[in-house]
Amino acid sequence: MNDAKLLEVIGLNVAFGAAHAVKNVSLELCSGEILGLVGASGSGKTMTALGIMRLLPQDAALSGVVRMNGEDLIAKTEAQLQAIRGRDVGMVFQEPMSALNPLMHIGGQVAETVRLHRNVPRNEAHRAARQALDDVGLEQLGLDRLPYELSGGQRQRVAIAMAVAMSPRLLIADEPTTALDVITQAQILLLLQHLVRTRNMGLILVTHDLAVVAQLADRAAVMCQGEIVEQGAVDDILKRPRHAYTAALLRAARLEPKRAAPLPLDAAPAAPPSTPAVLEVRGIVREYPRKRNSLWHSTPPLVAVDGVSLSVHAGETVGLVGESGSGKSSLLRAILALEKSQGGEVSLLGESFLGATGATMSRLRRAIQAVFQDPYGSFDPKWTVQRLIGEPFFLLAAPPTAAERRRRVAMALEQVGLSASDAQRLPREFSGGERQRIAIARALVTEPAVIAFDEAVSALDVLIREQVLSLLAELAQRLKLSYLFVSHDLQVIRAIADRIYVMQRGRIVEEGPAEAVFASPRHAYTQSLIAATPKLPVT
Amino acid sequence: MNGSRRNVSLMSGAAITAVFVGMAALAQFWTPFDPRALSIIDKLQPPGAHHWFGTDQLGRDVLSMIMLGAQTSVGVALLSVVIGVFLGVPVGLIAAARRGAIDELLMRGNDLIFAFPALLLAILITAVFGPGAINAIIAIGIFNIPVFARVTRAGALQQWTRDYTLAARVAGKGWVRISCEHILPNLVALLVVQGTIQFSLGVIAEAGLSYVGLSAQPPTPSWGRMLNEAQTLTALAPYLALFPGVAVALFVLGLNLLGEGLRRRAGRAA
Repeated sequence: MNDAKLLEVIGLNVAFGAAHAVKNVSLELCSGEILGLVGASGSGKTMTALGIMRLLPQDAALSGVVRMNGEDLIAKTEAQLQAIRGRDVGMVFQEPMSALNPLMHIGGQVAETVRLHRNVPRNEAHRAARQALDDVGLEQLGLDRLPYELSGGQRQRVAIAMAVAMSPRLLIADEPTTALDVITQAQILLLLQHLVRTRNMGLILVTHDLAVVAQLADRAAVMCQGEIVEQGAVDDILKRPRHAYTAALLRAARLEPKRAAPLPLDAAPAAPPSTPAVLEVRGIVREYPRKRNSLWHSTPPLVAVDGVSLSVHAGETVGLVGESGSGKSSLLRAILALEKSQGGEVSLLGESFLGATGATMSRLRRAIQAVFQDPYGSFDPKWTVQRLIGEPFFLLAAPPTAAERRRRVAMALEQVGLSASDAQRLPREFSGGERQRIAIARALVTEPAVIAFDEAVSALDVLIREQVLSLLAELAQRLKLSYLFVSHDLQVIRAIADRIYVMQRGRIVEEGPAEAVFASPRHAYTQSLIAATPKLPVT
Repeated sequence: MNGSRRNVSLMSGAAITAVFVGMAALAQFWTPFDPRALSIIDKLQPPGAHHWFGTDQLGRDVLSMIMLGAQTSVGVALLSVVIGVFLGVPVGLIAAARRGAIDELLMRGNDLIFAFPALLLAILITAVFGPGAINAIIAIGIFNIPVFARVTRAGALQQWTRDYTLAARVAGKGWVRISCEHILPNLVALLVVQGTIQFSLGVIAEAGLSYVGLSAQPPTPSWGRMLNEAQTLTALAPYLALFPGVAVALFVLGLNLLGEGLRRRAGRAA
């Protein structure tokens, strides 16, 4: 690290009309340094990053000083800025699929950056593209591959190759690993660190995840409502947070276990709890037909779930963890009888669920409800909250009267910490966290025995996530509910689950009491998952 | 999108459409002259203070004929859209909800109707069942069915990927109920836009059919037949072709502007 100031931001303001997205932000960055810009969603961290690059939407008003190597970026014209972007400053965004042109092969996309800034012939640019792709660890990948052929991690590497192809002195990465699973995340973070150290770049890492900052950054700036509330060396901030907001973020990121009484660590592994099983899944197989490549031979189907058995006992929270693509969601949909499974058996409260029809099916459906991932997509935008929460009343043999419905919806709303008057509003009037509460209320309204959660907190930011998980733990205890909680996030599973199953490529590879599995994972896959999860220093 | 920007196409399209629809409604009760009354003395009068749009070779008042012609035009186009919606939307909803073989069957049936050029199909139907406004409605309506089926299916498929359909299924609802309660209400904006476009195509199709004498029969006035009759008199009385021609063009323009405006507004709301 040297002391040359690479980037200096003084009093940066971004406003949209009367709303101030960024208020008086000042930052400094040296070459070879990694600055973590942390905050909850809506805290203004992305707007700060875009403001530095002058990439804000048209209706944003920007003021302040942004100096790079002593040159003021605010005073530059758009044409001058275009020369700087890509050459001196590279940028990596969250969603690797939409950051790449789907119709252009990856070599061409990287070469384009080179040709925009250096007047070189096509083959020269392609050589440079090859070099850039080699540098980000994609040696085996041909230049003529298209984005859809690549995995999420590979796509993000291509995006990074585009950003660093011109060896910029500053790299801005906006949530570069949020859309990736843990193992890929760990690899991408290592790559970014390697690039910064070997090329003496400055890196601004925008993220909501303090653990990522703890792992990678030298210094951190914590943003809250458009302002930087705390800035300093990462170790200091994590060990001795001075601002209450930082402390709250840290607490939320640590995600203490939510269960009432921690199970003893020395419990016999995988010993079935003493309570009866409410949900018993045996040998579920879920296959997807694949396009046939030959007229004569049928292509074998894709086996997403390969004979999975699990059980959920009364009052128990069972976590199901695995990477994206491991078959968790397919399994959950098969268990909920939303998709037809090609084999296996699900019994609910001791009765066969998958084959049930008519009144039996309605009765059993009432006992298992679900909360889905997307807090924006899981509600019909045209329905009021009252009607949405009341939808499962359809399952009751004798639908309650209007007054009774209102009473029960109001009760469900209050149980999840919303008010009864919210019933008349539309889902778009609520924030992501509130919507997830509404989804939970909808699941509660039929008084089920089991609730299945499909990545139910993955779309929420840390502070909200912590609140929703606490709510779930409290509800489970108060209403004697069982949960089947599916997530790719080990921290979340660890915080909420009593017992966990680890899923890889459609199979359960490990199961046991949560603490025991985390303390001494037996399967290699579980070990690598746990190793890849970014950790906060223990205080 | 800038919410405060005035939606010019919506405003102007709605205004033009309102004028024509209002004219058609007014013609039901009142026209300046009886458009069916022949008066050879008054024939081929140029536009003036007494006959604003002039008179034709039989002495009928052109303005009155245009007004009643609007009625034919609006009536045929509107009813054919209704046929398209009532038959096409359920087909699209079923295809999207059931997928698989049923989807294939319905959509290939659609392609079959689509394979015939619209006007040719209309001529075929009117040739078999005889010319007349009702048969023109049926002919244009049949062409509207696959259009609405496709638009509905595409929109419904997208809605089916949303998690709220899963939530409704967890609540025990079947595909028919979900299609009616969730999918259809969310497609209303899309269908209104498509309906406006089909309405304008219906106006053109009706004018075309009546031009070749296959839509409303005399003495019911229609723009297409007025154009046809004006053809032989172009040198003598060019205004005879001008007014019905402008009426068709302006009405279609208005409907297209309205459709575009509605589409933009729906896009902003989404």
